Amino acid sequence: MRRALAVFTAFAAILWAALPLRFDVRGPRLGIPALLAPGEVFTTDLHLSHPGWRPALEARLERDGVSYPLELVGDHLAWNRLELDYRTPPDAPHGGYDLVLVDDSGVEHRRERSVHLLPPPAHDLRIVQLADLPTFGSGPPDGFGEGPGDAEMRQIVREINLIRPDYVLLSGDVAYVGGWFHYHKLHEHLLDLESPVICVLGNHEYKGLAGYLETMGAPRHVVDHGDLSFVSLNTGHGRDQLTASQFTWLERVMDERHDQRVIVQMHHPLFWKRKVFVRVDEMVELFADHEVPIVLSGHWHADNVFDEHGVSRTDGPDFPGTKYVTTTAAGAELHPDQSTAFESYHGYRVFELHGNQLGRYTYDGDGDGQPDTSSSHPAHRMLIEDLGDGGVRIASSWNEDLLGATVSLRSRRELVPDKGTLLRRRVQGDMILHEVRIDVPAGADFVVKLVEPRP
Amino acid sequence: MIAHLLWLQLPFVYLPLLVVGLAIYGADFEHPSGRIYLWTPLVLAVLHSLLRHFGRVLAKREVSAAVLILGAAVVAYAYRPLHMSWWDERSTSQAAHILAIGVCSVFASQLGARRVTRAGGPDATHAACAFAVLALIATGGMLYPMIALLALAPLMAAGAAVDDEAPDAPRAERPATRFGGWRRYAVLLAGIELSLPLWDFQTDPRWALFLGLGLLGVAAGVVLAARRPLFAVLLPAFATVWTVAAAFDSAQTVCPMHALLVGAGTGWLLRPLFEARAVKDEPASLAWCTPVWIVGILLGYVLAANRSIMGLRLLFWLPLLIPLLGVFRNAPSRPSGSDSRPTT
Repeated sequence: MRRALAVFTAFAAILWAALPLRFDVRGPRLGIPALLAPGEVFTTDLHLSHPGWRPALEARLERDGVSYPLELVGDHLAWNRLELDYRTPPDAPHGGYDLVLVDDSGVEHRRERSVHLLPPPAHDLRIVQLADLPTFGSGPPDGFGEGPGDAEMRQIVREINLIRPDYVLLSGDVAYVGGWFHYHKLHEHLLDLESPVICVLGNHEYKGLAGYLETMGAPRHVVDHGDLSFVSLNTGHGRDQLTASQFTWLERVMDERHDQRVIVQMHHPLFWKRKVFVRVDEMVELFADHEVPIVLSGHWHADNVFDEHGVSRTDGPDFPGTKYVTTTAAGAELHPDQSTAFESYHGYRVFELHGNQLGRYTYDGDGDGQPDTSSSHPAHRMLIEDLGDGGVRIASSWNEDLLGATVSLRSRRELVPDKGTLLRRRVQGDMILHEVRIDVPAGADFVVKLVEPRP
Repeated sequence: MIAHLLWLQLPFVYLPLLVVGLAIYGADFEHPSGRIYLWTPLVLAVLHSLLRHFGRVLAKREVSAAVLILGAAVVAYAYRPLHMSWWDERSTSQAAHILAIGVCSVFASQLGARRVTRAGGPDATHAACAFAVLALIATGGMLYPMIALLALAPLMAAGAAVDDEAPDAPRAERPATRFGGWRRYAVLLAGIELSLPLWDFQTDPRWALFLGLGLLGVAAGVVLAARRPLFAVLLPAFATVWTVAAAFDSAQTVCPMHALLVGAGTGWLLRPLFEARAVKDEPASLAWCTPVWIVGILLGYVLAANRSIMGLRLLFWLPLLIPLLGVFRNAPSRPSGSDSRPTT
């Protein structure tokens, strides 16, 4: 009788913990998105409260209030992990979508902007990287209020949306103080970015790791898009290092992608001071073997560029081998003593990829018509002001032209822009969003507005 | 075996999981959860001490059964929000739940220890079986990181149902082992080594596999050290060699063989503890062993987190050379340890 009671208690305890049956959507996520073309298949990773259980789910993509149902084409159950393969609608327009899973009791599980339908990666790509963001929120006790960092971040988001890169990389220290509300605010800001965001944590995320994991997902990951792969490494673990298990993972990931174009980001630089302490030589060798064009970091709040021998290059940005690049802080305190740039400022790095060759990746800080050795692009020097009535003023204080920018103009009906080329229109609620491709010359100050189409 | 399970779950399952939680939450000082995690070890240490000295009322059969049933219910209730989302925005309550389970774990451990004492002292076979079961429980963390805490509920229920366990041999005739200083030191080293995979994987629950392998190694070490004199020499020798090698290349600390061997070496060290008869109200010297073990785990975290002092692990091994040489010389004839001494 007593033993039966013990056995009953054991089963009751397990059932109590596992019921009601529930699941978490582990991936994709905002910072680890699924990138694919319309009509292709992506995998959703579920963590189940009870091993062996298969929840009945309806899945859809949502954007601008429009739903696109997903077709389940396969699944794989392994103990308490269920992978569901969904085919995206071939007719869905390009852009970022919320993944919505609805269980049989009608409860919605939403992963915002976690799926991006895109054309296959082009030969020529433009990518923006930023790290060491401003401090969001108003701080305790009401951290969710507006703080000065929020205004800075909104401006940076507007600038990046104007640049309209193919991808945005966030290389750590994304919420500097680490409280939960910082990640909540970060999530809000990132939802305003038009491009897919790929995020990795930095050392400061360990002040509030729970918040980061819940908001952004896994500490290390790889995001594939066609022949392009983004490998994001967690170097904030412990005191600035890459763990043994993570290096084993990195080796496997790189081997599996030997014929891919690979971009690597990690918060800590590999060279000089305040760097990754361990396995530096092994990583450099690995990246050289796989012809990685660029390894991106933050952490120093300063611009610097190293070659694969660990030499800080001051003779120009063009040299053979992998470029190890640290980018200035996007909003955190600057450390000019560690910078080799012409000037220290808050900013982000805009770089181009041509095939597997790194194109331009530095800014013309001194205005001599040539890209500098290490300068990243300055933030807050590109005014984008919404004038209402479908007009936007753009005032550039950059020293160089921004070619192929994209500006979004809103109106209640279909119009045409007075400058640039109309790329597409999107319905957003009761407004129509007009995306216009336009060049922004250095020092330009002009207004783009929507006008009636000519007969 | 149930009493041994109740006794040993605190140092070998609950406290390592607490350290993992401490590493993830403990740095979030702005959040109450971080502060709760930091206070938990101290609260449990004080409670443990109070129960050791003033907990005789727990020895009554009805009281212990009631405490264990109540504890099982509290554990099942407190574990539920930890099952799926170990980390989420309600982590304050989660940290409080970890503390509540810790209180139950301390009560269960004390009750188990008193039962083992009442039966005449610990038993090596039962202890080995208990370590094997704890290994299985710990490995479950690969599926759900904290599920090993839930296992405490059925353990406590079983403890309420099954009171005493009969000794395999008359334990009163066994020696009272003084768990000597260098053995404690070696347990500290085992804590350092077995914590390294916990530190390395951290948010990746594969650390549970290494904790399970370590405990399986302890079970094997306890058994093999007595039955095959050869193993009494080989186990600590292999564990030492592997650990020194791992100090030069820390990648080996995440090799399953490392956890298994260090566990086996620890089992060999603990063997005398399970062959001795009870001293006062405590089975041998676990009261010393537990804090040393946990300090070892914490120290391992600190050393691993600060790569520049990781090499200190080698220095920590140096003082063991002299006693190890002595043990190797004596081990085949006296597998229960050189510092065992007859009861006076």
